[in-house]
Amino acid sequence: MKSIYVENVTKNYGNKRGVDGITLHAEKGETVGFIGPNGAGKSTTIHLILNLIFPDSGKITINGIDAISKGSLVRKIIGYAPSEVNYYGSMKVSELLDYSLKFYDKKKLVPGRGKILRYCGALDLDCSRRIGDLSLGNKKKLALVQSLAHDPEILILDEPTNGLDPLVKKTLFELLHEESERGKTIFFSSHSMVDVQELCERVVFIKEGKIIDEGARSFALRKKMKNVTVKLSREMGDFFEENKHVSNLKKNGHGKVYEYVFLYTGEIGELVRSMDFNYLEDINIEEASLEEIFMHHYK
Amino acid sequence: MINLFLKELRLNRNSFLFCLIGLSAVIILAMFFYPVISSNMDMIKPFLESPMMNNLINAMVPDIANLQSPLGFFATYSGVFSLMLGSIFAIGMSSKMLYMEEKEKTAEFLLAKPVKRTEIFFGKYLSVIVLLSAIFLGVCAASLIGIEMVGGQAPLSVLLSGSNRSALSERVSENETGVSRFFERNEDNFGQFVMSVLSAQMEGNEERIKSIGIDMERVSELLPMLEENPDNLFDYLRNNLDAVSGIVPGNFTEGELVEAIEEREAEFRRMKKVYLNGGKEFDELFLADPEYFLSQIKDSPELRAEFTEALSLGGKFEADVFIKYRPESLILYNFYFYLLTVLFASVGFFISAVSGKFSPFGISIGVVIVLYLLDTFTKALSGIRAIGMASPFRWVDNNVASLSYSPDYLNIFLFLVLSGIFTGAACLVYRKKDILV
Repeated sequence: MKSIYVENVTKNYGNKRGVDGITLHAEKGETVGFIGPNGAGKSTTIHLILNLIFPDSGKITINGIDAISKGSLVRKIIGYAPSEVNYYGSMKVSELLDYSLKFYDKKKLVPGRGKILRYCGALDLDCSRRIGDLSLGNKKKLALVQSLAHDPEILILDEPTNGLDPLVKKTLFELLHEESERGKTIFFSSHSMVDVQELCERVVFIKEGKIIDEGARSFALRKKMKNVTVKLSREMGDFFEENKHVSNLKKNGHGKVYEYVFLYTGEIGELVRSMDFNYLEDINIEEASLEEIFMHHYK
Repeated sequence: MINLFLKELRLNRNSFLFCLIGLSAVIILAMFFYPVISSNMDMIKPFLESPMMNNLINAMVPDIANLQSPLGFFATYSGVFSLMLGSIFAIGMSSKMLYMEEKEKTAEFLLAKPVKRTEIFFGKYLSVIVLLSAIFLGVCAASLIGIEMVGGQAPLSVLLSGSNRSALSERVSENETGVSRFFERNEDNFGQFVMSVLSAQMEGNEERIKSIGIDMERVSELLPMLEENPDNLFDYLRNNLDAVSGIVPGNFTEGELVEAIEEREAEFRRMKKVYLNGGKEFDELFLADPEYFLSQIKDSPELRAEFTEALSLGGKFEADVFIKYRPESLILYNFYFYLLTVLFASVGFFISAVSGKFSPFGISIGVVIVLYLLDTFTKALSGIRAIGMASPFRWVDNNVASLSYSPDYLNIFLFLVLSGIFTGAACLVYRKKDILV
């Protein structure tokens, strides 16, 4: 079953760009990365799922339940950490976490408090401090603890790694990995490919309010797309440029050795066979990173 | 919803306390001016009745005479301030409720929780209503304390001032049967009456007594004797002429002193006869010190009613002089205050729901001030007085000093219906609103 299903949703703000007929989904238990540059419509999509704003057209369901008419029902099983954390500055960390927890099922109150202690310990967050006095990174941690405490089925994290130092980021990834193992659906937006690559099973790309690749293609592409470095002892002319499977071609001449770096989406055997072995000095074929696929989409 | 409701109560505790203390202070402090204004009403009245002032006063009180009763004074001074302050507080607090969540972007936290927009709205709305109810109770307590401190303790001489005193003497002289039958008069309380008249005469005349050179110490030595039995006093004076000669400066012969004593005694006996016999002649004694006699009947509603009816003084006189204030009128007036704050709170929620990214505070405070001025200006100018009916300030019945002051159900209904309309509309708008954070 689809945990999150956004179907053909359009939202216009007037002069500001919203989203235009987007469709995306996350299967139950899946960790999905949601990638796009700033202003592409990532937060808008998340705010639509959470009912902060209402779509002009289209359908959003969570576990098959209409998220627009039954928003308060579906939000019971969602944990959300925003990209910019703006909580009540006069409250203490512990007060906010308790306030947050009380919105959910009463049965979750006691185990939730236990979880809060655990997460705050793991992320090194001081519960006695005032929210207004927290640094950006600590606010981010607070948002993450807040989103996890009621043990939600679905986690929606908007740029969760922003402002976290590498050590904390590592701890967070361990936590998220653990949650994923326990069967949680994680929907994770980011503009950093590296983070997504580490955590996500599938990636959705958004650009200027439109989904340009909803997972399947990127994934297949990632399997097929190779990052190839070829070193030859002679100039090849337009040999690589003319190949339709080659993209992002970079050429370096070192006098005797010419280096060609490119992304290759075709059959790799075909490429190897087509080359003149007399001049081949070295060849390196590796899986393309998401970063490279990202560049492939946004160039 | 309870969770949210409790948080809002906690979050607004300080501004609530600030408002409560401010309003209570305004109410209680303003009441301290009551004795001064009320007892000098004769002096102030011509000034207030001048054409310029009259219009201003009309804007505040139904009748200048209202200033004379503690309740009328309350409704004029404290009432004007607390209506205004309370309304501004109510609309300010309520218009901040939804707006601040958007401005501070905490709405992103709140709306991601499993609560309906309607629950958020009513959680906040109810917290405002509860705070306003607490302010209503606080204002009731403060106004009762204020009135009790000055009005409740005010002597009859303060209450019986200005127009009430002149009405009394006028009606007493017009009355043919005289007023003696209302009061208990006997040998025993005659002494008290004489004392009361004397102290009433001496009060405020201290300077003159001094200039004549009367030895007040000597006089006060003689006073207990006068109160106990006036007859003995004259015997005592005749036998101790030197005691008399020291009181007034100057050299008098023994004969002159005796003559003076006897003259006073004769006057005194005549007075006593009138006092005991009653009849029309008694009215003169009554008017010499009405407070003394009126205090005899002030605690008996039957005697009071009988007295005011016999002299056709009317209910207002009875209310002003005897009843001082009716607590139920005070509570009712404060209840109008409460309804007004609830209405402005509902308007505040509405403005905040429709205002989008713009701050609703300016508009909110503006609405209160414009409606307030609409009420007062149109009251002052009789030609356009009716236009002021559009302002909810006009629906607060300020004729609180009247004995027939009772709930005006139409106005109460109007307050409640309009509050309901604004609340409902605000909730509907908020339910379907895009919250951009």
